[in-house]
Amino acid sequence: MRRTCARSVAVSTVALLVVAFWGLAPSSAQEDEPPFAGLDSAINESLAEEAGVPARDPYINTEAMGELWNLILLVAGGVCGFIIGRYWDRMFGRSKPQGG
Amino acid sequence: MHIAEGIIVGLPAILYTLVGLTLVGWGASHMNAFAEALPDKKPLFGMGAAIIFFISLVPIPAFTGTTSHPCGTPLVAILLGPWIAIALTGVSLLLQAAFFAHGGFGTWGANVIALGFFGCLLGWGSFHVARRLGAPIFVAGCAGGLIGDVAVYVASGAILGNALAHAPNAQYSFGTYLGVIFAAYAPTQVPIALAEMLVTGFALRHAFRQRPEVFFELKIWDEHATDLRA
Repeated sequence: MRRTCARSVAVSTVALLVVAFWGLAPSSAQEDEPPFAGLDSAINESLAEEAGVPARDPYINTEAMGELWNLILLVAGGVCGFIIGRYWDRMFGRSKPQGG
Repeated sequence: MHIAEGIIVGLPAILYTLVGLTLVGWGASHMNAFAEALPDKKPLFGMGAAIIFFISLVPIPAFTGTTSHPCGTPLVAILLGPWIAIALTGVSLLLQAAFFAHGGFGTWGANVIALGFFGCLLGWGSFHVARRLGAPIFVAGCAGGLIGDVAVYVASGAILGNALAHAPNAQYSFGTYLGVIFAAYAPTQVPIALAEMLVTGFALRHAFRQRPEVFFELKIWDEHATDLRA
């Protein structure tokens, strides 16, 4: 009973959030920011600019790297995926053999 | 929660960096002790760092048409302990600053304090307080996830407010900046904090059901509480 109740509350909360998100997002987005801009840039950086300490470009500007950045990301993802797959059992343990 | 490069400069940036380095160094010493005691569990460091790196970087759309990040540090702090999680946060934030234009090298220390120190300690602490009060693992995990996430954004707002109140063209006092920042954060961050609460609770409950022995070995959960509290 308690488990069913907890599950219902969780599902209702998620459903409410999804409905509210789709209903409210387009109308309340700030006009001077692109849709779904990050909170960091929409609030932190705009307040900082007003205060005279504007955020500077990152030292390694990945947004200016074009396709090279995609290559680095894909290679890094592939290498990490291989390492996780190779040592999966050391992180999560081996499954117990089923049946006899 | 990432404070971008250039917003905190000069002496405050140096002080935050020194505090961040001290916290990460202290966490690294705990990692050594952990690795000596449980050498077969060392790969969990990689998993913990990956969780923090991914969760604290993924942009989640929210009510206001903006996106924000959950934290991930409360979950890892509950699994591996707060000090180890702080060290892993330091590494994750360094990579994010270097390659993902999130945070910065000059603001690394401030971000370690907000995301690492406050997220890990308050998330871990809330989980253990709830556990001692007899809460089931799902509820205790929810408490850790929610309070850890909120703590990160409160700390981040306070650090940012302090920096802006002492900036050359400060528009408001520190207290007013706090009000402005928290009022702006709340509509986006509260739903994300609620989502992080549920994800932390469900993740811990699922992991505990799958591999309870790991929870006992890492002293996350008492063995005698398994049957009644799962």
